[in-house]
Amino acid sequence: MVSYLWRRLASHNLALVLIGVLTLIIAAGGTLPQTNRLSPEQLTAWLSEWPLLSLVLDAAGLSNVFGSWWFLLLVLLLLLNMTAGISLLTSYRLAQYSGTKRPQYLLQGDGHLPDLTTLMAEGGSSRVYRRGLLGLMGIPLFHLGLALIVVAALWSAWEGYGAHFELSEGETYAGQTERLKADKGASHAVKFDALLRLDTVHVEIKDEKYLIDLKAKFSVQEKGGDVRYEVVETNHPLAISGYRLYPNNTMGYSAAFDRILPSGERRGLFIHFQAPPSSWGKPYRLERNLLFEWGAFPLFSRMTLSRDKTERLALRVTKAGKEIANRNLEPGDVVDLGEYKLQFRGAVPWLGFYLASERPMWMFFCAIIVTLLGYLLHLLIRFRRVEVVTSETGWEVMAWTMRGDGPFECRWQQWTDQVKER
Amino acid sequence: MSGAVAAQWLVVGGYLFAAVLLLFRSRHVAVMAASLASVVWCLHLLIIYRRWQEIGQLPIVTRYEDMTVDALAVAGVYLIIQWIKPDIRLAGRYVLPMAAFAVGAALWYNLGSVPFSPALRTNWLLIHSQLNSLAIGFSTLAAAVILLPDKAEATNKLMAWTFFLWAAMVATGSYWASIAWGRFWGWDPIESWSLATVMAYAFVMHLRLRPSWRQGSRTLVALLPYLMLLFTTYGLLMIRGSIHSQYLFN
Repeated sequence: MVSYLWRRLASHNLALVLIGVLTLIIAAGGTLPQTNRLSPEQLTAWLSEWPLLSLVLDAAGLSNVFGSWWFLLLVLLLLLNMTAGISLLTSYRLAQYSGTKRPQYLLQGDGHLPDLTTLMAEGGSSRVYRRGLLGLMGIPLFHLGLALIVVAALWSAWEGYGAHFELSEGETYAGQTERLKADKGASHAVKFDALLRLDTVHVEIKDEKYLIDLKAKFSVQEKGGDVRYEVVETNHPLAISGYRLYPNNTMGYSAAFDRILPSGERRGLFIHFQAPPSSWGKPYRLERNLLFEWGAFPLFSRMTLSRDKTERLALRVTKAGKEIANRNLEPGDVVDLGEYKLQFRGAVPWLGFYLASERPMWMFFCAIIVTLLGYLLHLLIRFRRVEVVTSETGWEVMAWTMRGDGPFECRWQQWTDQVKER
Repeated sequence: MSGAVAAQWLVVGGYLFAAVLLLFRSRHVAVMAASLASVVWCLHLLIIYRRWQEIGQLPIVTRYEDMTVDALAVAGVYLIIQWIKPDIRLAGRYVLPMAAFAVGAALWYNLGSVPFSPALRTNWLLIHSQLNSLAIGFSTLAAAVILLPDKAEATNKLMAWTFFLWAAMVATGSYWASIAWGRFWGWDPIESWSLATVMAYAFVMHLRLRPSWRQGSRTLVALLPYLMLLFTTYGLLMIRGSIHSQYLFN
């Protein structure tokens, strides 16, 4: 019964159906808007512009294909199908190698054994001629790699973690989770036990619109150890405290403040304003609305950060609808917000980063190597097994090859023609 | 018209003329056509080399550059394989017009150059993009061979190589994404369609293993993965935004 089920699970028909259905679903998911990938603005626009279509797609489960339970189910079924297929295919291939399966080619005769030179051009003269075991195992290896890719992808979906955050020049990040905007797997983050200070930002723009260089220089201290200096740029992430840090190509300017508490204590505060790379190095005027929630009552602020010859910050703050500050600040100016004061220190650049922890990544890429290697072996190496059996009454030549081995088929035909002519 | 553009139109004309010669049934004329196409291919290569020298970086950033390089791969793969296996020479009737169309269509795009963004400053760009161009070359030849009679074995082999090259392109892209963006897969439209194309090739290759498969009656099914590959490479970015388009083809 188990053997029967295993064979059903390894069925070629099932593989065809699953591959076909998954192809269509993945193409649909890549074409139709996926709500989990849209920004809040894009989602609102999609829902208001296409109210009926968005409802229909949602009802059909096509608005979040790759996060759906049925997509996962189909992938798991394909994984089972591949696993069962590999086990059967491997035993079949081993049987081909040892000659215990029925041969694809067979010729019997009596009398003397005919000359085998045409058939075995490689010069085999033994009773069993074999070559290309690696080629024989290529396809099972390829499918094994695919199964491992699926396992690694599932592991990554379960355990992988990624989050965006922004850091201003001169600012330090010490693992504060509230600063991270989680992008993947929020519940499985490992502890970030390091201090990361962004020392300088280097941005280079060509022809006033093309970003051609982006570097962030950091002072790094891990687990209370020595301070080291690192440069992070695209394609050169920084490995730190079990994570990797990548620039995410977002950038802008920060209004840097000292927040002065009633006790006289000063705390740094950076308010980020996003700016496109094309505006880098030019005069700018950036606006932002922000809610401060430090005291008993939240403060609502409207800010305009600008730079022409000097940096300026226009700040208007209201508390419970009542205006408590409306000032144009220059570096060094202080504004009193009641419970605390803010001293404007000027504008500094900030960069966006992506902090990721992907332990399954090594397995994913090892599996990819196994997959590609397996297929390459299948493409480049041809398995052939020719066995000669002689007895007092006659002889028998049997051959096992891979499907579609045209050159061997030609050679067999040539040889059998010669034998028949003899 | 600049010298480079004139040379590019000459390449279009050369490939088309060679394709017309292949319509004749004479073997000698077919060899002549292949020889002519080979000479034109050298001119095509020279155009790309000059562009590389002129802009000082690999010419594969803009759509113009991408299509010109892809056309080079399409014609190059055909020419090399037809010299090794002359029995597929007639596939040039379909392959060479495709290459000519790509070279001509490239000229409709902006011919200006765009500097490399930081993400493109890596050797992975060369590996990833050339695997892509080679896969397009093999897939175009496979699609053309499907249309020729009695070439099931050659079709299978070419489809298998297309599958391998496209899968390797996806794999190297995935590794590159892991070092540039911190994730190896993101179900972005380009990533999804690339995977769907791999799976479509896998589907057809599994289908071809079945005894019931008949070459003639299912030609259209065998061409489906090729159409998906073309759509993924040239069509998808016209209808969907992608993280990949912020670096290329702007």
